[in-house]
Amino acid sequence: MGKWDKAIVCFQDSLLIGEEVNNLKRKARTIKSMGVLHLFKGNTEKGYKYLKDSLKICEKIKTEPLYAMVLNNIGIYYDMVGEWENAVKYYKKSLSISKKLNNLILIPNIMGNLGFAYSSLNKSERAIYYFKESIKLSAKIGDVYNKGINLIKQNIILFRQKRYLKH
Amino acid sequence: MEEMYLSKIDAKVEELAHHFKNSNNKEKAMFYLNKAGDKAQSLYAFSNAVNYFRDCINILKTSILKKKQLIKFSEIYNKLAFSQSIIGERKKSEVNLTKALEYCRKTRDKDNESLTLMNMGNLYG
Repeated sequence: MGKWDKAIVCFQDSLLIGEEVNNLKRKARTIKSMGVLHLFKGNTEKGYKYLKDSLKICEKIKTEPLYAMVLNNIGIYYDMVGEWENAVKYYKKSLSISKKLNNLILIPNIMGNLGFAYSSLNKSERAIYYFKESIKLSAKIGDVYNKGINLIKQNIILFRQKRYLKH
Repeated sequence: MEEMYLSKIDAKVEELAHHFKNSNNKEKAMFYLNKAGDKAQSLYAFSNAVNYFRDCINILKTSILKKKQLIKFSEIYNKLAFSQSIIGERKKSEVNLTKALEYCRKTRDKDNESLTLMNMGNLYG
């Protein structure tokens, strides 16, 4: 069993056991994570459906931090289906809420995603700006994974522009 | 020392954790180490949080475990695993989530079991 399949089993078990305790916030969070996994497995429409379901629960229970996470993930969906303008729209909505909440884990993640969407829209300078911000903030909180990913993405653009050696 | 800081416990939680860690009062040590870990996590100081939660677990391990302590074990392993996953210690995080799950099941703590499974999913995903 691959890691993603293991993850899906964990989420399904969490939902099943969670039914007994009826924790709606956790349910929304788990459904959101299942949505993201399906996106990464290539089941984009299934993933989108999970994300929309999660968003509905977030609206019902009024949980802004989670709502911002789901918006970010819907942005990823639009990114994956090539609707980059829509992706930027969702990422920006998510970023605005996350900045208000000062969510230092989510902000660098969204900024990395914005960088990626702008890179797909051939707006390289804007993409580099967001990658740089993401790398800086990730380093600040010690998030090595996000820092590494965004360094790679930034360097791909710089490499394409033959600016890699200057950095 | 604790009385001196009574009005500003949140600000002095790290000092209290350090003080009680080196005392014989295990209960207070666990309380303040856990609190210091939570504070570090809320300030995004995940490496510090890992140290506090790890110290807390080490003290918990030397206690006689009743159901209350077993539940505490699963909660703290969960928090330790979360901080470890952020700072890139993913393998250690997986090991600690497995321990958290074990304790949830021992105590039939469905709420924490569902939380731990969700965290495991996030780690694998």
